[in-house]
This record gives sequence, structure tokens and C-alpha cells, in this order.
Amino acid sequence: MLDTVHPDTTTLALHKQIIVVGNGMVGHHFVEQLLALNSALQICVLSGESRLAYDRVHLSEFFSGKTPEDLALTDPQSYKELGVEFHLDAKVVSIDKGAKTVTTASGLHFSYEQLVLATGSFPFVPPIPGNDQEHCLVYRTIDDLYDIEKSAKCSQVGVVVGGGLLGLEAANALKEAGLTTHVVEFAPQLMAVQVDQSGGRLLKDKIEALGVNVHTQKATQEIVKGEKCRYRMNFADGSHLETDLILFSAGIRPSDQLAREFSLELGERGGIVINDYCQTSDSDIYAIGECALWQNKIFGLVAPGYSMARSAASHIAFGDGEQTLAFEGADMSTKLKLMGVEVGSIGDAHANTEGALVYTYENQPQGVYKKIVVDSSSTYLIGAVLIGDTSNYDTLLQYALNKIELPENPESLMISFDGEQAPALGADALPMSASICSCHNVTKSDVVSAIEQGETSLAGVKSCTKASSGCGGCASLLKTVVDFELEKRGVEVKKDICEHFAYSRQELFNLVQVTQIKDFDSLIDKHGKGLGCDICKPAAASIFASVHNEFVLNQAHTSLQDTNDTYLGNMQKDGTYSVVPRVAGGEITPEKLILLGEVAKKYALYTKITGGQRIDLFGARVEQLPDIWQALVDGGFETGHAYAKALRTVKSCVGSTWCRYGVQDSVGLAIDLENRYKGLRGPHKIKFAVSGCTRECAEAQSKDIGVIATDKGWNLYVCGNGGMKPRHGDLFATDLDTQTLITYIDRILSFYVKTADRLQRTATWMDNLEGGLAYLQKVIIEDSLSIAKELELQMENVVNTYQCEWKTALSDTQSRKRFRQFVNSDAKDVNIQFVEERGQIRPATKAEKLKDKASFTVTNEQLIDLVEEV
Amino acid sequence: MKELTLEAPNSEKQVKPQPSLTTEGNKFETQWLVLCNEDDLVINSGVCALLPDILSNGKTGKDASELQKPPYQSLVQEQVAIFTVNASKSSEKSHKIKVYVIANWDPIGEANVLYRGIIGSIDNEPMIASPLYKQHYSLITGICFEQADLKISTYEARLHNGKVEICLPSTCAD
Repeated sequence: MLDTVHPDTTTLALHKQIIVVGNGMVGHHFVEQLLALNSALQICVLSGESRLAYDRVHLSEFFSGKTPEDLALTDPQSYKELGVEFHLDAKVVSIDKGAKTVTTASGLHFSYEQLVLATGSFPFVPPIPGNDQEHCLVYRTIDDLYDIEKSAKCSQVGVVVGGGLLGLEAANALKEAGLTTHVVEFAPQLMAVQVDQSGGRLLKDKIEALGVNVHTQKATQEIVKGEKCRYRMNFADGSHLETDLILFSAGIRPSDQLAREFSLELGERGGIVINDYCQTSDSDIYAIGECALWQNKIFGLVAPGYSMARSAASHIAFGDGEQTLAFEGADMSTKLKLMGVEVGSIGDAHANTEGALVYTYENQPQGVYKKIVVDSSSTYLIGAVLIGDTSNYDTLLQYALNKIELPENPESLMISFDGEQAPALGADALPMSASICSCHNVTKSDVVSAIEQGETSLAGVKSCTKASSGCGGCASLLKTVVDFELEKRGVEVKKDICEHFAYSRQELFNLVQVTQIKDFDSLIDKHGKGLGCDICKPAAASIFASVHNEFVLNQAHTSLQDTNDTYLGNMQKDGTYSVVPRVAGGEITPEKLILLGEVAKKYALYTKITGGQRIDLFGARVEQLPDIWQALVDGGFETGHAYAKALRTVKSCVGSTWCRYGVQDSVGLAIDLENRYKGLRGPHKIKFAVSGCTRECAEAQSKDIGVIATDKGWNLYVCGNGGMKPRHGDLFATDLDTQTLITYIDRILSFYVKTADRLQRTATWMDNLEGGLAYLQKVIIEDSLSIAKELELQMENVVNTYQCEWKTALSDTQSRKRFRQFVNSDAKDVNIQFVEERGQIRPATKAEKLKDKASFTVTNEQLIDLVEEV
Repeated sequence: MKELTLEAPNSEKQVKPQPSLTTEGNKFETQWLVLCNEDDLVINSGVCALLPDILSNGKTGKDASELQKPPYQSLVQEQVAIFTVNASKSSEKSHKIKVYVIANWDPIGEANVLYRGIIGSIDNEPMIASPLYKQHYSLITGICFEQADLKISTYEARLHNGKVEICLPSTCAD
């Protein structure tokens, strides 16, 4: 015998031929799993369908535009590359258990070592007279979809028989196809398996609100010719319904024909009986998926089918070895969105367990129904139903699957009180064994090890573990876990600001403050390595500015700054700069407005009003900046710090001075605040606004610091922002007098500048403070850290040492020198070219520049002459 | 046309961008061209200069044609960015200044801006970060760290008698 010479199983396995009958989702999964365990096995797939495996879970997306190719799980090329033999349209019609061969309808013979039946199920069509007519269809395969599509084209009304999960999917498909859609259900409610009665009632309301007519407790007796439509369905209660198309989705039946004919043990009501390793009554024949019956149960979901596939594959690869996985039943919990209605069902949804206790919550106006089922001791969650809002599904499922002890008030898991969020089960609370994706059996520890092996994105983890690529129900849970794990590591990695310093920004800040280091060379010499980079240099400059508040263009700091800080303007795409003078509080005199206009006109600048209530002048060449700013400074303007990570603007509404509704002088306060904090350098830009009354015209709640007038003083909002992730500010303190308001802002900003990370806006900063808003209030208002005085002094120092950077730069020849385009010529950068648009300039596009090439031709020839003379 | 004039320098500090060749030894050895004065430089930062046109107009180094250029590069004088790196420790008295000269054209941002970037190092290789979209280019090879198939021109340069000089590519010892 071979195996006595080579006791190596893989050698033996080379000669094994595994035949897989059926190439549905489960059959395909089996092939993948088996190859992963032993790629040397010879696998032959015989499929009765005309195409290889596709995603049946998302079948209804065919009607929203997905093609069979989009739904495909594999393709012939992939199978060929894997060395998998396959035959399409090869329906197996007989099995010879003794000779170990199978025969297809077309007469092909195959011999097998092991045979795997993954024949799936077929839709149950109730035995109703007239159910075999042309437009009576089922909903199971892609071919069925083509039939439905064809029939729908010549139909106006469609009926789905069956109000279960698949039935509602099918109804959605008919609705997508543009038909007037009805659902006819025999039971008193929809989704009777997954949802209890109250939930079913709400579900019906919601689905009807979406324009699908639901008829429950209707037993169809016959399908006859209709009067208005193609058919008429007559019901047992004497009523009837007319329709052009009937779609049966009244449950599935296992495709166990082969087992029936060739004497494999079957269940009483069908299904091929299997043991814990998916073996049938013939130990060389396995059955997996919806055709299999385990402990008298058929599992009509993809996740249990995948579990069976894994179990059978491991048994074929390892025999009864230790690595072999037993099938241990499966969780039938589901979460889905049916026609936009969220439905979730977990475990014992009907509270059938003895002693089970139930909490329910129904909110009819909002169409939300939630129920949780707990065990008799109220220790564990054993079931749940969620309709209209499944946001708690992931948390509840984890409680149920991982037997996590419930909190004291289990109802807090489904509803919030007093606006407080239900305690979401954080990713860190999950045990490593927690199942994240039940379709592909991915646990939290699989996700963690994928990340440890270098995956750094959700997509990466997905493709490496396959998590969330089955039914997709775990997508948000997977994201939470991945984000959490990445963040956990990210924080560790990000702690070092860059390769040159093994410190975070905050640590560098403390270092600079304690050591009183004032220049980058000393800092990197003593505490870093290399030459620095575009990350640590500007960060260091910002820290020097915050701690010492020296002129940013000091020789020692020049080389640290981003170009915007170096040239005191915002660089635009063509290398020109924008000029933004400060217009504190948005208040400007006509004289200054005229000056701005004159300067813009003289230098042909593009002008635009900004969101921060000031005026942007664009298109200034670097060598023009000093002259432009000289004119502005002479006219009383100051720099607007639009180029810096610094206070930008304090926006204001017109306030009580003019407005009929204003209760305080918002403009006056805005100007005072802007003048107080102008020049303050921070980890990121800082924006303020002041509104004169609760109407909030200045949009103060979207700013880092927002002030809203009340009849008693000022309400202070903190840590809001607009931008990519808008966030409303949090109410920090109410009815403050102006002095207290300023004291608080002093402290908050100093604390932020001192402790925030590089490029961290106030919102993220506060969210990352342990204790968040409440903690910040303690530090600032109650001075819990006893640093209030220090924070105030720090700000006082910044306020007292303010200088207009442009004014200083203009008075210093060395600084001015920097604004030359070429150190060896007065020429201009010819790449900067403008064209006119709406009466102003704009940068020329590349095409426009190329087109303009002609005008350079003469010059070019001259240049060549010149060169030749040399 | 006026934009391309070469008779620009009025201020005494400026050097005419006309080539002034200096040779060392008597054979066809390395020829150096003066670009600007040493005191035009900003330590640990960049300035920009126009190349003497003997180096523009296709008489540049052998691989110049493959390098990234503005769309109408052949029509104008080439701009170069000149960077200085102070390689000495702050504790040391004397300064060891190293000069790097590279093309000023940012091939990704498509603007003449590289001289306004921040210099630093990646794995101890001196680099410049584009001020527009923050790609990093080696000051030694000109290769983009983020996109290895992207390479900008680099020139051999030195400080000599208070001047910044670059060598004529054709005479450079490779």
C-alpha cells in the first residue's frame, strides 16, 4: 500500500477525486475551503445551472442594475487557475454508491472518492390549481430573474405569494421593476419566523407605507382568468385579487431528490440527514447547505451553509483528526433592510425559552419597534426583534452570542433615556473569540491578527479575512473593530510625530517649554535625529511661536515654516499667493474698502469675499507681495493670518447696535476677541463667531469658540467646526459676563495649544480628552488641575507680544529679500499666466498655456541665436 | 518677450546670469558656472535662480530630455532651486554647509515652486517636500519618494569663493 510507504496524507490525497454536486454559494464556499486546506486535491464540480456560483443573497439587486457578472462569486478562469474541473448544465441524475460513480443527465460518468451534495433547495410552490401558468414564476436563480424581467415588461400588477424574508425581497424586486405590488401571506403576519406579532404589525404598516399592498391571512384557492388583469386569485375567505404576474416565494424545500432515489437517509419532511461532520448515511457522501438536515433542522441562510462547508472540507482533509471542525448548529440571527425598512432578529425572537422575560418598546409615530428577550435570571440576552431601527443590532448580537452579562437595566440596550446614548458595546469589550462575521466564521482574533500582519485598512482586512463579504450584515461591526484596533495601534505609531522625533507634539511642547530651547537645530540635535522634515519642522515652529511668540520669520525659524508661513500668504495652485488682510469682526470702513479695491486694481488681483467676512485677493506673485502689503499696511491693515495655523476670524452678526432682535453688541465683542487672540499660533486653525441673539446669524455653534448673546450675558460654545466633518459646538457655560467669558476663552485656548496634537482641531482634541466636555469644564471652570493661572499667563504673554508679521517683515531688509523670485535675475516666472473670466483674472490652464506658445516663438529663435553666439 | 529678458540684474548684488566659466587644470576638466552669491542663500532653506542659458535649450545633461519639464520648457530659461543644508551639529563652531541644486519645476503640481518647500531628510537622505502637494524628492538623485518613476533634474553644485557654482553637465565627472 502506498500509505505504508508514504504515510504522508497529501501524497495519498493526490489521487483522491472529490465530486461536488451543485455550485451555489455553499458549494462554491466548500471548494474554496477545501483547496485552502489541501490544494493538491482533485476537485470536480458538477453544476445543474448554466453558470458558476453567484451571490443569491443580493439577487434583488439585479433589478437595481446589477448584472450577473456583478453577482458572480467566481468565473471559469479562476476555477481553471485553481485547478478545479467543472461542468455546467451537468445535472447529476444517478449515484452508484457501490462503484462510487455519478452520472449526469447528458450521460457523463464520474468516479469519486468522496461525493459532496450541495444541491441547495427549490422554491416551494403551493399546490394551487392554476399555479403552472405562463406568468406564475419563482424567485431563486438568475434565470428566474430573466423570466421575471420578461414577464414584468408586459404586466402592470404583480403578486408575491409568501410574506417571509425572501417574499419581501421578491416584492421589492417587483416594485423595482415598476409593478403595482401585492404581498399575499397565509399567516396572520409578515416574517413570522423572525419577527413576533407586534413587530409583524409594524412591519406591515411600514411596507404598506412604501406602496406595497399587504394581505395577511389569505389562503389562495385557485388562480383563474382575470377580468381587469391576466389572472384572478380567489381566496378561501371569498375575496379575490387580480394580477398579471404571480411570484411564489412560500418557503424552500431541500433538493434531496438524489438522496431519495439512491437511498440516503432522509428526514420525515425531507432533507438529507447529516452528522456533525456533514456525512450522510453513506460515510463517503456528504451533504451541505440547504439540502442538508442536521438535528432535524434545515438552515435556510448562507452563514450556516458556509459553516457546514467548512466542516465537511475539514473532515475530508483531516479525517477524524484534531483539526477537524464539527458543525455545531448555527446562529440564525439576521439583519437586513427590506425596501428601506430595517429589520433585525436575534436568537429566540419569540421568547419560546422557558422562563424567558421580555422587554418591549414601541414608538408608533416614528415606526420603531424593539423587543429584547432575556433569560429567567435576567443575566443573558437570548433574543431580540428590531423593526425600523437596527442600530443596536450589533451590540445586542454580541451580548447574545458571547454570553456577555447584561447591564443592570437591560432596556438601556435598546432605548436611550434623557438623550443619553445606549451604551454601545465597545470593540474592546468583545472577547477575542467573539464572532464578527458568521458567514465566513471570522472572529475578532482573526481581525486582530490580520492587522498585526500589516493590514492597515478596512478593505485590506476584508480581503484578507473575507469578513463582511458574505451577507454583509456585519459591515458596521467589522468597521468598529477594525477602526478601534487600528486606532489602538495608530496612536502608538502616531505618538512619534515623524521619523526624526520619538515624541508627540504635546511632549515636544513640554520639552520646549521646560528646556526653553528656542531653535530647531538645538532641538533636533539634543532630542531628535536627521535633518527634520515637513512634519516636525512646522510643528516645532508652531510650538516655538506658542511658547515664545517670536517673529515667525526670524532667521532661526524661517526654514521651519510651510511656504504659507514663510511668504505670509496662501500659495495657490500656480505658485502665486493670496492676500488676506484682517477685517476684525467683519467690520470695515469705506476708506479701507476703497483701499483694498485700489490695491487689487493696481496689481490686477482677483477678489472674492471669504466665508470669514473678509476679502481675499488672489494672484499675487511672490515678488509683488511686499509692495502689495506695504500699501495695505500703510493704509492701516494688518495681516489676517489666513496662511497660518492660528486664529483666523471672529465672525459676527450685526448685533444689538442695529438689529431689532439683538440683545448684546456682538460686533463690539467680536472685534475685541479678534484683536485679543490675533497672532495666536495653535496646532491647527482656530475660528470664532459671536451672535447677538439666539437666532444665531453668525453661526457660532459651528466654530471652535462660539459666543451667543443672552439677555443676561454670553453663552459660550466650544469645539465646533464646519468643514469635512461638521460638528456643533457644545454649550460650555451660560450667561457669562464679558470678563469671565474672556478668562474662560484664555484658559481653553492655552490648554488646547498646550495639549493638542499636531493638526488636531478643537473638536477632536476635546473628544480625545478623557472625560470630554465635563472634564474640560472642570479644568477650566473649577481649575481642577490648578493650572488656570499658568494658562492665563501663557495667553497674556501671547497677547502682549503680538506683532503684525507683515509690518515686521517689511521693515526688515533680510526678510524682504526672501520675496525675490530669482536671486540672479529680475525676470518673472513665465509659467504664471492669467486669462480673463467674468471681468477678473484666473490662472491659465495647461491647454491655454500651450496654445499661447505661438507668442513665444520669436523669442525662442532669439534665444537660440544668443546661445549660438556664446 | 520682456519676461524672458536676460539683461535683468540692476542691483549690484545680483549676478548676471551670463555664464562665466572657470576651469580647473588644463585638460577638459570640470567647468563650473557661477549661479549666484553665497549670501543670497538662506541656510536650511531654498532660493531660486535662472540657469545661464548655455544650460537651457537642450544643452543639458544626457538624460535631460526624459525629465519632467514645463510644457513650453524649451522656450524659456530653466529655473533651478538652490538649497543649503547645515550639516554641522549646533555645538560645533564651524558650519559645514552643503549646497544642492535641482530643477525648480514641480512635475506634479505643475508650477515653479520647489524652492519654497521644506527641506529635511528621509532615512538620512536629504530631501525637499513640494510645497503644493507634499511629495518628497531626493536632493541627491531627484527621484520622487512617493513615485519612483518620477525624477527631476539635479545638478552638481559647490560653494567657491563666496559664489554658488554648478558644473557644466557635459564636463561633470560622473
